[in-house]
Amino acid sequence: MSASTYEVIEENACAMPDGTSPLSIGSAGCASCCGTSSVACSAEIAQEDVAWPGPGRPQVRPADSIVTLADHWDHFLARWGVNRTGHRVEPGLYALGDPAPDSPVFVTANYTLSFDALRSALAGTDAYILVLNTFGINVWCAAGKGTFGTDELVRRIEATALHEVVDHRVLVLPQLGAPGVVAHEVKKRSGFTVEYGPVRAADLPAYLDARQATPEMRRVYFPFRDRLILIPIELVHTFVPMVIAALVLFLIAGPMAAAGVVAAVLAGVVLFPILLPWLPAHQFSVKGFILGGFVAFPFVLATVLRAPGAAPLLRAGWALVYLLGLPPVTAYLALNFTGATPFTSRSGVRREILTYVPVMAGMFGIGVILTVVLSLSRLLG
Amino acid sequence: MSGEPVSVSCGDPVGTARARACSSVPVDTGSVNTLRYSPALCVNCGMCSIVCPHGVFAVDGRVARLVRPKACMECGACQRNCPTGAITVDSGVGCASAMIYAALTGRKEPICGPDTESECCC
Repeated sequence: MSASTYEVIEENACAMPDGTSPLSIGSAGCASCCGTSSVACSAEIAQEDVAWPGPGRPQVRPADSIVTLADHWDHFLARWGVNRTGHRVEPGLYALGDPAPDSPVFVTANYTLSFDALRSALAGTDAYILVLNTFGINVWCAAGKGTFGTDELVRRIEATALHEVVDHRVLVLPQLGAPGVVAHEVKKRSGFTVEYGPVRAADLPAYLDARQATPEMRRVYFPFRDRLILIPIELVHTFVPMVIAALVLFLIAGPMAAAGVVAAVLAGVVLFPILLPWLPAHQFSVKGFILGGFVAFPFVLATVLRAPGAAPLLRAGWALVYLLGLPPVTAYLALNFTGATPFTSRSGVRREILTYVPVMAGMFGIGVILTVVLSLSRLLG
Repeated sequence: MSGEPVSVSCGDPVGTARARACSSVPVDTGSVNTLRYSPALCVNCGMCSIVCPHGVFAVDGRVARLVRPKACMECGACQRNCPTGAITVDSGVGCASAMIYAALTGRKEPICGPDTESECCC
């Protein structure tokens, strides 16, 4: 079944592009994570929350473990931030395979990447999948915001009449739902015991064998692939400002300045995530300054080695423009990457902001002023 | 609030310096982050070590131990799932651009979620 058979809802809300990669919520916040307005949110909840009125049970939708080409395309679009609102499935109860009243119940978010990761990992298993309404946001981000939370879980249990569908009282939740779910409160309110499964859906088969998670299954890492996969959305967000800046610089200061800003941005958005573990220093801003320094260096060199006809003061001025103007751009983008990183803390980010943003602003400001002054002097002869 | 954080176990042999240090005074992580843990309130349920994505807690004694306090990313899962409130941490929105915006506009730091009026983190 393709994603479309799961009745993808198109709503006007932001969605986190990443469903399976661990994303930071402690430094929290998903760099591009937005929520619906409280008005829209409560209206949606009210709509879906109506307990089913009549006889019989609420609908249990069928699900399978096949991730189709259409699904992969949907994931691709999500990662590039296309139609950010559209990557959802209908909340409610799904039957994977041919579950019986004693089959396990797994809980996930109504974001297609989360849902697809879960159902494909459970290939060959007969199970129920309880999909919570997280407005198309992945489990970890939604947990941080509270939408993958105690209230929604209890609400969804009631709305799907889960007590009548299964005869056991256990729910397997993704571990990264824990920031939003109070396990002992869910038990008190619904009678269901929350069992936190592994971080990654791919570990579910091994987890189900032993019904226990190894320490490795409970740890979040930030490997190369997980870093790489965040680049498209960051690129999409910075693309237009970068092009505008490059155009402006090209017009007033020439092609090299335009190339400089493009290099600084691409370093911050593409190179930084890739090189993250190998850049020295602990703080992302410092790592960014170092990377930005490397990027600025060839521009500084080119300016200094320019034809001896150019006045030395002018050359020094332009060299200073690159030296002061480019590294803060890369550093600022690096600082913002903390929001997509699963190990930076809010306290650490706050400290970095207080320490380094003034430095970035100062350096960049001087660079801009110098650029304007030097460009004007060149234009005016 | 400076220096290496101390991992105190109430399970240490009675009479030792470390056991004496185990009291109702919360163990904190120094100035690194806002994680605070009170071993005296721990009932050894193990939830903190289950939900933590970075192995900050270990449950191998009479009570939980802070074994990797600096690894805490302040996600709040442990605080949420501790039945006795032995753990506190400041787990709000920490996305840099939101915090910078709040600092520049002088607003309180934004929180996002269905219970708040804010539409977005930023």
